[in-house]
Amino acid sequence: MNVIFVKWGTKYSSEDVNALYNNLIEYNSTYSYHCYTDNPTNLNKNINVIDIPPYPILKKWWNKLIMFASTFPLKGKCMFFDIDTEIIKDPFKILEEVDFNKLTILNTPWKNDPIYDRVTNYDVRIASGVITWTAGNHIQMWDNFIINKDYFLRKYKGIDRYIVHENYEYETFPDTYIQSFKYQKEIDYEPAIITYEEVDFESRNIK
Amino acid sequence: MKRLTLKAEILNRCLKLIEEVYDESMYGDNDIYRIKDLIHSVDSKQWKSKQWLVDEFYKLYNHSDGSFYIGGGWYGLLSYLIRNAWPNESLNITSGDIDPRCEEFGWKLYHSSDINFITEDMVSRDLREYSAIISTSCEHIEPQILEKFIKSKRKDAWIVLQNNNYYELDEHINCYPNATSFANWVEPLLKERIYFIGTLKLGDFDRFMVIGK
Repeated sequence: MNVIFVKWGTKYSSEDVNALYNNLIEYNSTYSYHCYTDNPTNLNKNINVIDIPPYPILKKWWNKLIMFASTFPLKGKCMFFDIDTEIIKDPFKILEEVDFNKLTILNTPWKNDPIYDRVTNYDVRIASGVITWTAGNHIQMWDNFIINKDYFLRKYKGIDRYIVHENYEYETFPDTYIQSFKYQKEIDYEPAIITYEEVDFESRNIK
Repeated sequence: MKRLTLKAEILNRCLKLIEEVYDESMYGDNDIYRIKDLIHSVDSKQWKSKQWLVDEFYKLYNHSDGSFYIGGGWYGLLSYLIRNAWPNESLNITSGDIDPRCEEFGWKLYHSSDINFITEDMVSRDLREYSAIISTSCEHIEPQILEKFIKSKRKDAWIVLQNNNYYELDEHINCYPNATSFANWVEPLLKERIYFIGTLKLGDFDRFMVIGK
């Protein structure tokens, strides 16, 4: 099993990656941990570095999409975590229920406003904060993107919208797997992870 | 006055095309973002930036014939404005874009302007046949690709490039802070020298232009 982080730019630090890694190895230290990054300085030595190549240039979350390319240097089962993820309990237990032949992604039950269903609104009810798949199974997501990259970058605000509106198939994790720090202040279950969705993450004491 | 009349004609064609895209979204391919993209392609900043290029390059080019290649030509506004400045049929204009809908929409918007719209990667073509190669999309283009584009031109051919300092957009992957820094990047790639460096203030960002050989 490959566990993958993506760190691009300066929004998140190597210390943020190391903290997430340290949380995750409490639950499984036998998995292979990888960080796809443009700056591996100060990353934990046990995290395998996969360098972001100089071409093609992608900003922010768009770098996640290359994980699905045929050229991405991993084989077998993969699990991706956004860096702004807090681990509450064993996040790998869910894998017993996951079909790795399919792409599985987070559901966002807090997005209950009908605005998400409008034809003109490209927002979606999934989030790519955690993804599972088998390497090489979804290469068309990258291949189709890179052919007309600039248009997709203009059209969609992130890969979640690209996945949904370009009609790629996906499954979702159970709603109880996740809590949104921003939108779910009170819940009646214990989630495996809290997703910060890039908000207030810096104020969290993770070190 | 003539320019205003022509602009109104193009904007009217754009409205008809927007209607087509909407109708298509009802019964066929649902890609209504094209509506916004089409509108952006003919908005006042696009018009101003591209007319600026035509006006400045017209002063330098000093010929009525030749062959221009526009790389990353989008839906073709620049080609159209070039044709207005060089109405002579002996000036050939080719607008290439990797997005296949640009060719389709380019023909629909500018069908009467004798422009050759093609779908292709801007560095896949032999550029040695052109007397000028032009791209106003440099902020969208990887430096390696842009470098290859510039180096592929004929020695005596013109290169006309626009870039900007609008870093905020995800698709803007190759911005520069000012015209000088962009020109400093371009200059070592040229066979001769830079003839024009300029900045056009567009409110929330600046557009830069470098013209050289």
